[in-house]
Amino acid sequence: MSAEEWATSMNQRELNRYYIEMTAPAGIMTGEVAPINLPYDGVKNPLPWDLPNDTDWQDAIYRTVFSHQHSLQFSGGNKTSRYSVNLGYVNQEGIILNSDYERFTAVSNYHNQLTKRLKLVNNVQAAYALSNAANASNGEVYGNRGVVTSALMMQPIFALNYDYQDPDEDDDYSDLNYGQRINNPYTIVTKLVDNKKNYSLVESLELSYDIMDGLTLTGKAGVNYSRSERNQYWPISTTRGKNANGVASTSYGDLLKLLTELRLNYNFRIGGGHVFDIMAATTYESNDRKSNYSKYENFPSDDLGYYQLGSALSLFPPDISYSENKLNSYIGRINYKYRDRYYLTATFRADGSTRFAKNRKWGFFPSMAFAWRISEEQFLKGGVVDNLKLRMSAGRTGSESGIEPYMSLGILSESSYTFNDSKVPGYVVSNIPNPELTWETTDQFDMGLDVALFDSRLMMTIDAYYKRTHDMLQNVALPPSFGYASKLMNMGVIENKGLEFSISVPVFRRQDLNWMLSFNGSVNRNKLVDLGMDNNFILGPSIGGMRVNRFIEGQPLGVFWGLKCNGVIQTWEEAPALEAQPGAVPGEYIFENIYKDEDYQAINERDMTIIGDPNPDFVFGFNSHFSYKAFDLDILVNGQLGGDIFWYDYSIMIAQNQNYNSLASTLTDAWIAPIQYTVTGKDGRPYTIGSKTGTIGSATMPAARARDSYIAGNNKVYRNGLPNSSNIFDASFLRLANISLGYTFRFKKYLKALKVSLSVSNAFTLTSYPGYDPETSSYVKSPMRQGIDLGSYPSSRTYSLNCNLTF
Amino acid sequence: MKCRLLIIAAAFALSGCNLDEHPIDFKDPDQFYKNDSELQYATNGVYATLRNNAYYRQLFPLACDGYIDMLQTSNTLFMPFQNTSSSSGFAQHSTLTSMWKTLYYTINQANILIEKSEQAPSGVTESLRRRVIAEAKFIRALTYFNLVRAWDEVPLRLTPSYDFVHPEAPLASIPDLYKAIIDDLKYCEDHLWNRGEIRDGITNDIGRATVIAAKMLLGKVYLHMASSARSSDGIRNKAYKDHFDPNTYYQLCLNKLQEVVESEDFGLEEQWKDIWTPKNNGTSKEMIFSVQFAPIAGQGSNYFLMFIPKNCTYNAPGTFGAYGLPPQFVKYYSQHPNYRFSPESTDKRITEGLLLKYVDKTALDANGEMLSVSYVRNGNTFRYQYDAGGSKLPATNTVLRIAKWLDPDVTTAEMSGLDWPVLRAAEVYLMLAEAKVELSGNPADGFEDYNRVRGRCSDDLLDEEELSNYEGTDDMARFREAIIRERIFEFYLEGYRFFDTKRLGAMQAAAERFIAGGAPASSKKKDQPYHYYWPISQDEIEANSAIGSQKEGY
Repeated sequence: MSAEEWATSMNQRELNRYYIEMTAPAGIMTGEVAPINLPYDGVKNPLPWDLPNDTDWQDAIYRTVFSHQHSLQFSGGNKTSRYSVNLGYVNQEGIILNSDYERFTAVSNYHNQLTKRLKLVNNVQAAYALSNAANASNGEVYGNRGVVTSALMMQPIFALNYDYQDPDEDDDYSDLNYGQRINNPYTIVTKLVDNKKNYSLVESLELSYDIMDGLTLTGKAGVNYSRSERNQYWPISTTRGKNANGVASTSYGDLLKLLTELRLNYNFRIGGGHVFDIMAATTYESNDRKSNYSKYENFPSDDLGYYQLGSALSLFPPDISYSENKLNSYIGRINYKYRDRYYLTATFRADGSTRFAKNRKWGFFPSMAFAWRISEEQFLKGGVVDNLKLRMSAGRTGSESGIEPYMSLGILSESSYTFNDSKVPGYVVSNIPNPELTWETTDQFDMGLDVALFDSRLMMTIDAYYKRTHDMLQNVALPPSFGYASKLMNMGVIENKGLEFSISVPVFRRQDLNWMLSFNGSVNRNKLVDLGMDNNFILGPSIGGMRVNRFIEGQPLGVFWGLKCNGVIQTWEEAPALEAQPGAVPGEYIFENIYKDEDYQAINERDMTIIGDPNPDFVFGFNSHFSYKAFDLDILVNGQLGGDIFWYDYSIMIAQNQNYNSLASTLTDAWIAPIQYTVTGKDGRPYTIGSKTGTIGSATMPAARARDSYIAGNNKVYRNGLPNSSNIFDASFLRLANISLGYTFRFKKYLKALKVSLSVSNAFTLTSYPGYDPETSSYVKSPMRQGIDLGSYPSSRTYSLNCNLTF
Repeated sequence: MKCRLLIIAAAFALSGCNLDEHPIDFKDPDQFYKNDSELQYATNGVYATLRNNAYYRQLFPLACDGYIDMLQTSNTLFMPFQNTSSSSGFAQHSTLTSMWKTLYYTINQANILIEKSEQAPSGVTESLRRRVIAEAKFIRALTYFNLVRAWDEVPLRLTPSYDFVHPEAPLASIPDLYKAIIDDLKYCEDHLWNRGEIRDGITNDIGRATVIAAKMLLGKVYLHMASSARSSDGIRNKAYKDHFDPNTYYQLCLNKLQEVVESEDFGLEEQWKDIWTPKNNGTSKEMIFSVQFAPIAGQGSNYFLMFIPKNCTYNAPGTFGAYGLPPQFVKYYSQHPNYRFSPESTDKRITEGLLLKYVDKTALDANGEMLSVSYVRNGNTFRYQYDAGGSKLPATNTVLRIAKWLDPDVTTAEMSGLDWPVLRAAEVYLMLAEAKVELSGNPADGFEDYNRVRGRCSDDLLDEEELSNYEGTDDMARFREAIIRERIFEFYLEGYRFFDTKRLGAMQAAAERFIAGGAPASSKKKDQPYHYYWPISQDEIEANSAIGSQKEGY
């Protein structure tokens, strides 16, 4: 909303309140109707259209940016050795002001046939990246929301450089925000110093030795070191900085990864067409991590930011953690092939991980695969079928799901206290042992078919699978009275079944005209079969006190749970019929009363039900590659059908609360009282505010209403506070993900080729989702919180020009 | 060839590694609790759980005061405690769920400490082992007492939680909960040490639970049982009426509190303002038990920030400065000459405990100097500023800000050494007065103890004449009203209000006055039986199959 629209909606809140109280049937009102008192009436405050500022916070913090990247590659070699060197540089500006990313990389690969039997391969990769983070989404719900959210929510009536420290404006701001100060997003992006650095060095050396014909022993060792740093300074001009006279924090994480592998390969052939390839290997991996976070507050001035931490008056004890985990595997595999017709692979692996409980560290994972290339059989040769291959496999795989180390152990954590102002050491038991913690395993059965027909003018692949995962590694919510809110354990069985297919059609295949069309799609259905607990469901993680996702036996994973919303009450005649919503007034949501009980009729948590499913029905992509002489044109389209998004901020953004901006659609779709009111402005002239007709009968969103009202049983705030289906949106979309047009110049001398291409990524999206991006997920890393949009960094449209020179 | 194969085989065999985990940045609980120091460290950790934000650091006392009529805030943290008759959303509200979780976190940590101390090897000093167990039992009893007062029936867990596959526990009855609380406190009476006592070469640090803390808490428990049973209408506080005889428990309370008063560790601070001096309140005898904070990074409290006005030159940021006494509450309790939340009051608890004259930050006195609240010392006059002549009385719509938590030594958040008073000596006298009067039926029997508290701050003492001015059908009812008022003035915003109105049957009247005074109409009326307890956290109900359904009314 613009400032004028926003102020209009604030006035409308007051008109709505007045109308509802005035028209209330007898017995509903508990107090006197207060006279109309418009906040933007041209006397106390300017009239909506006379407001001095109209700031579009999104415009203020987003920008169109320019990025460039360069890479240079050399390669060469002789009979016994080959090398390649690649240097890269990337410089991207972020679409949020003051965010950027820069990276330098150097990669070198070296192969050398040292002797006839001994070969050496060495790879080195070094990278250095630095960036200014934008504090975009930080997963927090209250005061410290990231700038994406505050740009959506900050009222447009404040000036761009609005500073709540200004005493004259402070009350104005403070009253609107109930005394809470939310950072102006522009202040955050311009004042906050948030630097990240990342260094990494990867080295891997491989030696292989041919012991005899077909028998090769390979030894490999790798070291991977990376360090990431983040330094922040919140100057006194930001809310957080003001709390503490400047807040600096420095953190870093070190990771040292060691890898070794010893592998023996043996290829041989028996008789006419029996080809065997046998492999035995053992691998070992260790990860050593250290992280350090320290915080400093109360600085004499902002000048030196986080560079002079010694000047801080409050130094907090650093939070340092160390962890180590190891993975040890033994792998055996036999590949067998007969005359390019029958293929058989048998694999067996044993994996041991330190992360699991003593005596439960090892998992055994066998698998078998079989393929039959039917097209090689005599009876199909020479027909329209170029390739027909039937594939089948069955196997078991294991997962550690990236769980933290030490979760099977009891943990005694530091929890210090003070007596008489002296600090004393203290400890609490922050984790109890789980002596059963072990691998999550999945049994899987696949069947697939590859088909190429009519001289490969039609190529198809189709795969069907069935997966059953048991001993799922889950952080299960426990009753809080247990003393621990959740526990990592192996529990339950889930089932996934699905179908994937792709079709490719080469429309033209000529010397200088090529056109390939391909289409792929996939369908997956998952179901929680059994939890193995007394309860038949577990709760998803809490997001701002709401637990939106739920895991219910017999249902897809992470379904949304909430009240079902059946539109908006339009008139006073409709309200009394809603027995379960005592005190309901026009302009409020109607909720479905699912749990009917004689004692207790009102809408409450028991009326919550499944209101959505984040899992998509169908995911697809379409690809076209066209080239004509020196031109080429690539188009990539992807999309999704079905699947829901829970837009966390939606209910706030249509509430038309004074402390937030609202969606512009509320101006037309919200319930609006049919009254007009005339005010006399400062200039003595009358101004009419409000709408004669209102939106009664057509409103689909709830009414803007001042917080307090004298209606009995006014309890809407809380009902609206429960997750409800109005926040659920269909995530279906169709996106032109990339379109790229290129032209290649060829030269005879010095330069071989120059390819110039222009591409647009994320060109447009067709969707009914009103948020930023239907593909969003604020919690990408958390599979327990699928389909939640909580202010994540929006995806941007990128135009790029690429030049590729080959010498 | 053979040799080569052997080497390969050996290489494979040796490539395995030890997969045991050897953490280096935390200890194994099974290897701890082995000597005197470790037992004390583990005890300190349990005390530290009281400092959790959802417990005494902020939410629990404020929710108790805010639930009735004593906390003005627009902060969403307390919305369902304060607003509307609807129950929906209350059980899921973040403040309620985090308090529930945090109080039980403390319980479990206390349970662990008790079990581990009992199992500690014989090398530990026996008197210390018993003291540590008693300290854990004190914290457990205090926390169960908070739970049973706020929620009525709750799960009773007296052993550490290990079996996470079967984490259920049913609701325990109110008599069972009180039995557990009283058993713990009786153990504490025998095994806690006195203030600062040195036994077997070990010091009982100031701030640890002491014998009189246990005795006072036990007296307070008895009084809560007795008065709840006495005031019960047969629906509200029914379990108390059914199981506890008021006179028995008034008598137990009286006996126990008399032991407290006779203790050497007992003492009333002479000057009320000295209770609130950060340097003093850790050592004052007035603080029979307090949650300790220190002006050390990571160890400080924040109370001073919550109640001061915004725009103080002090950086009162964000949600701070958000709390105060609501105007409707102030209006009602300013009507009586002896009780005035206004500058006309001569009561030091008002003149020194409230920011009555605050107007804005540019106020200057006649000499052009900025003013500070009168008792702020050490020359630090630029931090809190108030207007000069006291000419501006607080308007009825003004939120009254609180000065008793002011900490002039602090410039940043979370760095105050102000302790949170859990048990204060003043309450002993008010409880004694109440128990004596309830037992004898004669209000005059309570005047002496009662006036020890009021007399510290005011020259107007309670007498027959004043008593006759209070609302009530008889002298006993009027005396109870005087008790409630005195508790308001002595303990405002220390977290007493919910439990006082609940045990004295005064909740509905308080809420009615509050609403009649012009509180938002959405304020909770507190006229339903279920208002006497809070709903159980929805997370608990859904994950604890032994509970089944939410409490009646919610």
